[in-house]
Amino acid sequence: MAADTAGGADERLAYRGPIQQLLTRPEIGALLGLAGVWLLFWLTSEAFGTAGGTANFLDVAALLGIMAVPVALLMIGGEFDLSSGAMTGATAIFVILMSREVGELGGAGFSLHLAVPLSLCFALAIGWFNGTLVERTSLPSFIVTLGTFFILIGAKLGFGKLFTNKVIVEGLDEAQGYEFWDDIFGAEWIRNQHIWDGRDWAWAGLLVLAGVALLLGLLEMSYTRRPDPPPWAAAGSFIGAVAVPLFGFVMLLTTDGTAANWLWGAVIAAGTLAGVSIWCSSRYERVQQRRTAPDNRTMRMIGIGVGAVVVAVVLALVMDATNSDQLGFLGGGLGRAIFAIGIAGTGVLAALAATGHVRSSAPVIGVVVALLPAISFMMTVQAARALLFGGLAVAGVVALMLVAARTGLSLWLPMATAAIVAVAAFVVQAESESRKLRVELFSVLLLIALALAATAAARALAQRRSTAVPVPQMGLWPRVAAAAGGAAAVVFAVIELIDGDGLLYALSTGVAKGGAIALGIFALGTFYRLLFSSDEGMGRPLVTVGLAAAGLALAVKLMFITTLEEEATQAVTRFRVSVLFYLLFAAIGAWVLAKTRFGSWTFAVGGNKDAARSVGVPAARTKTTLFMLVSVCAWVAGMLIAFRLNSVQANVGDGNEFRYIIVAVVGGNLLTGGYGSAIGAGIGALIWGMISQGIGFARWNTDWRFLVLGGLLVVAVIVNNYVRQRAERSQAARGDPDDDEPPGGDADAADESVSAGAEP
Amino acid sequence: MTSEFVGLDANPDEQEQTIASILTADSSIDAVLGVGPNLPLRALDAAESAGRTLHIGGFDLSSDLISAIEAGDIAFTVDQQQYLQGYIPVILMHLQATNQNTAGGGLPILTGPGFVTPDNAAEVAALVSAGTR
Repeated sequence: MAADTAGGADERLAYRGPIQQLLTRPEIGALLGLAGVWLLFWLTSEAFGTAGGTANFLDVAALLGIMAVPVALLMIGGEFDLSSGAMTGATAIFVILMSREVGELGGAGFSLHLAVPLSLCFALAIGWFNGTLVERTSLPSFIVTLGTFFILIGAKLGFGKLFTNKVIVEGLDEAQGYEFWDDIFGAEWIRNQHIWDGRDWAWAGLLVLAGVALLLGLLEMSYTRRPDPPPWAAAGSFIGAVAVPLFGFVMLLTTDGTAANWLWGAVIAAGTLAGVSIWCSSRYERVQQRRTAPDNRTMRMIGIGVGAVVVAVVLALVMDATNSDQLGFLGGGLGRAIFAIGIAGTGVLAALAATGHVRSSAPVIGVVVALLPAISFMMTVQAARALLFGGLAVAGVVALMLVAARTGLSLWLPMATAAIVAVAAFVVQAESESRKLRVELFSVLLLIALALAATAAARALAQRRSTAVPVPQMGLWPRVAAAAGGAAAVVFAVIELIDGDGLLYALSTGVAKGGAIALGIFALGTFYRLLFSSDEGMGRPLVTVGLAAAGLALAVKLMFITTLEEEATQAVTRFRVSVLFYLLFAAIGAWVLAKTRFGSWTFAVGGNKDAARSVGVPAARTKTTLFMLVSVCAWVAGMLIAFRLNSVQANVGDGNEFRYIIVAVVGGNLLTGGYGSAIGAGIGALIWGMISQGIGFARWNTDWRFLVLGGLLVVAVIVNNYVRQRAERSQAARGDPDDDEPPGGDADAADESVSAGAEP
Repeated sequence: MTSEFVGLDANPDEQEQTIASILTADSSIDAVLGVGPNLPLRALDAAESAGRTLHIGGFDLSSDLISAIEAGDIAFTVDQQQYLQGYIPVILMHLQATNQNTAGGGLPILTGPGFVTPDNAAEVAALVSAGTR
C-alpha cells in the first residue's frame, strides 16, 4: 500500500496495518497452521472441540511445550541440545533413586525435600557441562550434546539396574515428603468437581467484552482520528455498538424458538452495524472515495469466490460427523495407477524444472499425487469432506475479500460476502443432520458474517491511517490495575492457603482472581480514555483487553462445568498442572526474548557470535545460561513425569529432543539461529498435540499417523517461510531501511542488542 | 468380535491421551490389551477420563500393574517369565554338554505363559518388588 504512505514523511514512521504487522511476526505460520489444524479436527470429530478433547491435546502439548520453549531460545542463540529429551527422563529416575529406601529396594533414602532440590542441581550441572564444553572446545553443540545424550541414556539404564535390578524404577509414592511435592508436580484440576451454573453467563459476557474491545481496537489502529470528534458520537455509538447487541445477545440466550433466533440475530446485526457506522463516521476522517468499475478479472474472482462458498455449504450439508469409514477409494488398480502417474510426473517435472521450463517447486505436485492413495487409506470420509469444506469456505471468503481490498468496491462486495456467509449459516442450521454442525458451525458462521459486515462498513466510512500509531497514553490506570490485582492475588492466595489447599492451588487461584480484577480495572480505564480523552493510540490497549478477555472466557468455559453438563456425562475431564507450567514458561520465554537484555544477547549471539562479542555481549555466559535454562525446564518436565507415573521406565524421554527441535521450527524458529519466537514454539507444541490426538478423535487409521504428522510439519514450515518472505519483500518494497533485521516484535529486541550489549 | 491394532507413541502422556481420544470417539470398544506392563495402566487412566469401564489386559509385570490387578481394575497380565526363557535353555545346553542329558523328548519345552490375575496377584507381588519376577 505504497499509495497510503504520506508523501515526504519519514518512511520509518509509515503506518503498517494491524494485519500487516501480524504477518511479519515469526510465529505467523504456526498461528495459521494452528487455526487450520483445529478447524479440520473440529469439523471431523464430535469430541475434539469439547472441554474433554481440549484437555486431551493440551496434556500432550504441555509436556512438549515446556521443553520446546527453552529449546527455541537455545536455537535462537545458535545452539542445539540433543540431550534435552534424555535429560527429562534422567531427572525423573534420579529423584526416584535418591528417595527410595536404602536396602532391599535399593536407593539413597533421602527425603523428597532433599531429593527434589538435588535433582535440580543435577540438571543444572548437566546444562552447565554442556554449555561450558561447547564454549571451551568450540566444537559444534550437535556433537557435544550427542555425547551427553548417550551418557545420560547409559546412566539411566545402568544406575537403574544397579540399584533396583529392573528397567522400571518404581516407588516414588513411598518416599518421605511425597504429599507436599505431589501437590505441586502431581496437581490436577478435575473439571467435574468444579460446578458453576453461572459459567455460561460469565463466558458470554467476557466474549462480548472481547468482541467489542477487539473491534474498537482494530478500528482505532486502522483509521485516522478527526481532530474534533463531536461529543454525542461517543455515547451514541457506544450504545449502538455495545448495548443493543448485548440486549439482543441476552434475549437470544434466554428465549427459544426459530422465530426468536431470527429476530434477536437481526437485532444484534443491526445494532452492531449501526454502532460501527455512527462511530466511524463521527470519530474518523471521512474516506476519500476511489471507485473503479469492476473489470473482467474482478468479476471472475467474484464468481470463483461465490462458487467456492456455495460448494462448501453443499459439502457441509452432506457431512455427518459420526462417519468414520476409511476413505480407501484408491486402493486397487486405480490407486496403483495414480501412484505411478505421480512418480512419473515428479520425474518429468523435475527434469523440466532443471532445464528452467517450469518453476523449481513444480515437482511437489507430482509427489502430492503419488501420496494420494496413501492418504486415502488413512483419511475417513468425514475428514475428507471437512478438509474440502474448510478449504473451500476459507478460500472463497478470502478471494472475495481480496477483490474488495484491491478494487474500489469497498462496500457492496464485502457486504454481499457477509450476506452469503449468513445465508450459508442458516442453510446449514436448517438442513444439517449433526447437532454439532447445526449449533456450533451456525454460530461461528454468523459471527464471521457479522465481523465481515462490520469491517466493511468501517472501510467504507473511515480514512485509513497514514502515520504510525502513537504510544498509548494510559496514565495511572495500568499501575492502579496492577496494584489492585496484585493485592487481590495475595489476599485470595492466603485465604486458599489457610483453607488447607495446596501451595500451587492457592497461588494459581490467587493469580487467576487477581488477574481478572486487574483486567477489569484496565479495561475500565481503556474504555474511559477511549471515550472521554482526546488521546490517540488506544488501539493497542484495546486489543490487549480483547485478547485477555477472550483467553479468560476460554479458561472459564474449560475449567468449570454446569450442573446440567455434569449430570449428562460419565467422562472425567482433568487438566494437569503441566498446562500451567507450559503457559507460564511460554509467557516467560516471550518476555525474556522481547523485553530483557538477556533476550537481546540471545538474538545477538545467535545472529553473529563474533560481532556480538566484539560489541561487548558476554557470548560464553549467554550460551551457557541458555543450556542451563534447557536443563532447568528438563528438570520440571522430569518431575512432572515422575509424579504422574510414579514408576519410570529407563527409556522415557529418549528421542524427544528431535520433537522439541521440530516443534520449535514449526513455531518459526530458524535452525541457523538469530531469529525466532518463544510463543511460536509454544504454538508448535499445541499443533503437535492437536494432530497426534486429533487422529485418534477422528478415528483415522493410526498406521499412517507419522505420514500426516510429517506432511503437516513440512507444510507448516513451507507456509512459515513463504509468509515471512512475502512480508519481508513487502516491507522492503516500501523502502524500510532496516530490512536486514528480523521483522516483527522480536526485531525490536534485536535492534537494541548492540546498544544494550555495549553498556557493561 | 472385531479387534483393531492401534500404533502408539513412545511418550506415556501421549499413550494415555491417544487411548482416551479413541475411546471417546468409539463407544463400541469394550476391551483393551496393552503390549507391555505400562500400557494397561495408561489404558486404565484413559478409561477413567472417558468415563468407561473396560476389560484391560497386559503383558509382563511391574509393581504398579500387580497392584492394579489386585485392586481388580485390570483383569490380567500375561507373564512371559523371561527368567525361564533365558535360564532353561542355558541349563539344558550345559547338561547336554557336560552330562549328555536330554529333556523334552525332542518336543518344545514351554516356559509359560503364566497369567497373573486377581487370584494370584498377592503372591506374585512380593516377588516382583524383590526384582526376581
